Amino acid sequence: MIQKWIGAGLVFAGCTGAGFLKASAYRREERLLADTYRLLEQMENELSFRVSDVYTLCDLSRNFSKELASFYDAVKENLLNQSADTVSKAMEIVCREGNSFPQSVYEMQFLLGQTLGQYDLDGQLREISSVKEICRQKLTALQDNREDKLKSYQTLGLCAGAALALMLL
Amino acid sequence: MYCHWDSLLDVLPSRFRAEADKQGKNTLQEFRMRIHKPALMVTSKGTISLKEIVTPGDLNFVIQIASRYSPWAAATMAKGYLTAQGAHRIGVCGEAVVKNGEVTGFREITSLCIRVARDFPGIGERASKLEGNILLLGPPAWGKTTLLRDLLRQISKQAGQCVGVVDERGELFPKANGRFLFPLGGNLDVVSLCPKAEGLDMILRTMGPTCIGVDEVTSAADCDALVKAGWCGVRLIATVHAKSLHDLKTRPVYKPLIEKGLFDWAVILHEDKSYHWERMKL
Repeated sequence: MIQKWIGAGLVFAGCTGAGFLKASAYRREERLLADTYRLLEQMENELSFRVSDVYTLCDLSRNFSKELASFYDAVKENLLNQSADTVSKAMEIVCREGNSFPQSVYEMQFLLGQTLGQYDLDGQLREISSVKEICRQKLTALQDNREDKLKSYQTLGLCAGAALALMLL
Repeated sequence: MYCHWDSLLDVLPSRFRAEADKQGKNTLQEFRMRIHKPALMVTSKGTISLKEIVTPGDLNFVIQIASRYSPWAAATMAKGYLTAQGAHRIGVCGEAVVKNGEVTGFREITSLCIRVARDFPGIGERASKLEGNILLLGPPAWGKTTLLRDLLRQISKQAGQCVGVVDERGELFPKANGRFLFPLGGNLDVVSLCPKAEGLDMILRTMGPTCIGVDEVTSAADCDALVKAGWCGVRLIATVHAKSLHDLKTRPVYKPLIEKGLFDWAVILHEDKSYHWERMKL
């Protein structure tokens, strides 16, 4: 009987944990997208004011989350050691080597990588601005649905856990 | 002698690096790349043709590395050159993009000429004893910039001197990671990558110089800027493309400098990098 109770407890904890993990992944995606949006904003400002190079733009990521900073550090490293001859290739390499970004965040980096270092100043600013707009839309969608989604993931985890535990008992 | 050799090798496609490195920084003067032709190395001992054929990818690689993957930061491309890390100048030829009658960049690059930048501290010591405004004369690649750099450095070490430098091409006193790559000397301030007219005005108004140096006076606008800056109680030191004083006087673009008697001395460079000076007469 004790074994049954322990099993039910573990199942309940597992399901609840899964629900909370899903909710925290949602929060992480939102945080990374918000960071990406702010990074794009800083890149735009840095470019308009100082006309800085790609390396300096990559360095701006250090003002944000560690994940974003390590991604751009790796991109910069690939460019510096010449293992990629364009920014987009450098980003591809970093993504292939094991990047754990959520799909939407990865898409933003990919879109930026496709254009970075390809145009003159005006063209580059326009490209960053259009990626920023896509990022803003995705972020707004995540923020609008945040309360409902988080509640449903957590509730679903709890309920599924409770139901399975009851069935076991 | 200072030379940022690693920066030069970095700019070259990897398959050319070993050959260039074999020549070394004392011998290699230029590395030339022409599309679908063998790469050429111009050395102090003669020209060497390499076996490898230059591809469009090689040319793009050089531009990408030299511009730090940032075409917007390499605005000088529109003028047909860009300066790589280590002050190595890369001349560019190809199909130009023209907007409103002005070249804005290159659609396709067909030739590159990479010139090895070197610094020889001490070579300007003799000329630094001259008083008044000095014009350095010499054809391309005869060492005008190298002499100007050291001349300015030597003057900046003299008592009571404060030297301002307008380094439009970023070749005189190049920087990387916030540090100057060649020794600065004494009392010397540099405004980099700034057009001469604006740079001269800026330094004159704000830095209280006793002497101002500019490299490569090539256009009427540059001459006008020098004339405007002249007779302000500040020494001017500049370089121009001319083989002799006679050549200089026959070039219409330099007429304002000659007619107004702006410069007191012409320092004339020789092919072997030595030089002599002549007084400039009105």
